[in-house]
Amino acid sequence: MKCESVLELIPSYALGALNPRDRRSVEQHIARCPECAEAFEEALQVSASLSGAFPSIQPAIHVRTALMQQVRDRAEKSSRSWTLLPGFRWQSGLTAGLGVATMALVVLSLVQFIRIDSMNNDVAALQTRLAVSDENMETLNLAVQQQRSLAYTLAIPGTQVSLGEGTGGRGVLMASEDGSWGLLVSTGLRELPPDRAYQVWLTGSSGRESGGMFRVDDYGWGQVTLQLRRTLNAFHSVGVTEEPVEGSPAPTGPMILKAEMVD
Amino acid sequence: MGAYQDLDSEDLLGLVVIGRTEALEEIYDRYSRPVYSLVLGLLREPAIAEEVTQEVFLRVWLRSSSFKPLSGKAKTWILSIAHHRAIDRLRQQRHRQKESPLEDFLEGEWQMGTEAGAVEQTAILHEESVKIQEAMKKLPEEQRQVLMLGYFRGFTQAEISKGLNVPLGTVKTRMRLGIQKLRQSLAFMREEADEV
Repeated sequence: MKCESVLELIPSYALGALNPRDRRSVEQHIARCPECAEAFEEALQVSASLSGAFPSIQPAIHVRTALMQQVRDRAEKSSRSWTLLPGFRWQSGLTAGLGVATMALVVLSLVQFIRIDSMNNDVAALQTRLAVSDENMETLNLAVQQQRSLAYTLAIPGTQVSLGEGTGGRGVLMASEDGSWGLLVSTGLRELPPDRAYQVWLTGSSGRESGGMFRVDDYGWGQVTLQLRRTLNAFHSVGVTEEPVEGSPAPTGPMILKAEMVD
Repeated sequence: MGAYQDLDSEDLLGLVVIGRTEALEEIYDRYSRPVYSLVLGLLREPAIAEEVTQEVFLRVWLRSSSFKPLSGKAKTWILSIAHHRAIDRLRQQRHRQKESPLEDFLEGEWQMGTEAGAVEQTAILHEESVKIQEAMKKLPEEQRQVLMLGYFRGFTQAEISKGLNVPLGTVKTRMRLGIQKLRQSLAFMREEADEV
C-alpha cells in the first residue's frame, strides 16, 4: 500500500472505523514507514483522548489476578517449547537434500535471518533506551541465539511436505532425513482468540499422536518444533486442527491443514 | 516492585518484550483503569468488559515487541489496542444479535450524551470527559456524526457511507477533518488549563 492511501486511512484507523483487513494493511505499512508513523501516532493520540469521554472506573481485582495467572502459564509453556533446540543432535551422514526443498529452506532461512536482524535492532534500541541489567541482556541475547540456531538448522538439507486444505492457510513440514526432528511453519492461518491454538497431528499405522501446539502472529506466521515420541518415519500423514489452548487428546474439529507424507 | 514503579511506561514495555511479568503488572496497574473505563463505556456489560480488559493486557504481553518506543507513547498504543478489541466485540455482538443496520440506528438517539449516559448512572463524569464533550460539540455536525458512529459505536467507514448515503471518500474526509479539529480544540483547552 502506498503512503498516500495509508495517510487517507489513518484517521479511520484511529477511530476504529476500518475493517480488519484494511487495519492490518495500515499496521504493516506503519511498521516500515517512519513518515506515515508520525501521522499515525498523532491521530492515535487524538482518538486516545476520546477514551476520556467515559467515566473513570477501576476494574475488579480478580481481573488482574486472572490475567497474571494466564501470563505466567504462557511464559512457562513458552520456555518449555524452546528446550528442544539445545538438546537437538543431528545424525551424521546426511546426504544432499532435494534441490527444490533446499531452495525452500534457504528462503525460509532468509526469513529467519530477517527476523534475527529485527531482533538485533531491538537489542540495540533496548540498550540505548533502557538501563537494563546484565541479567536482562543475557535473557534477550539468549532469545537471539535461539533464533540463530533455528535459522542454521533450517539451512541444513532435509525433506519437506507442503500442507494445505483450501482454507487460505498453507504450511510446510520440514524434517531431518532420519526423521528424528521436524519443524512445521505456517502462513495465512487466522489469528485465534487467547483460549484457542493450533494443534499438529501425526497419523501412522499405530495410531495418531499430537505433535505440539502453536499460535500465529498478526501476519499469519506460526511455527512449532514437533515434539514426538517416535521418529517422523513412523507416520504417513500430518494435519493441523484448531483446539483449546491447552491442547486436546484427539482432534475435535476439521483438519485446517493436512498432507500425506510419502517416502 | 519499587524499581519498576520508577521506570517510564515505554521502558516497561521494553522489559515486557524480554518476558518480565513484573513489568506487565506495573503496566496493568497504570493503565487498567483507562482501559476498563473505555471498554465498559463501549460495551456496557461489566462482565464482558472485564474479559476484554484481560484480553487487552494479554495482547500487550504477546505483542509488546511491535510497540515502537521512538515513535509513540505506551498509553496511546495500549488504548488503541483496547478500542479495537472493544469495537471488534461490539461488531460481533451486533452480528450475533442480528441488530439493525446503521440506517435504523440513525433514527434513534446517537448523541454522545446518550453514549456516555448509559454508564453515567454508575459514576460521576469527571473533568476530562466534560472537556471531550465540549471539544466534540465544537465540531461541525457532519464531522461529529462520523466520529461518533466510528469511535463510539464501532461502525466501519463503509457502513457509515452506506447508512448516511454519502460517498466513502466523503466519510474519509469528514473523519480526517474531524480528527484535525478535535486535536486543535484539545490542544487549545490544554494550553488554557496550563495558563490557569
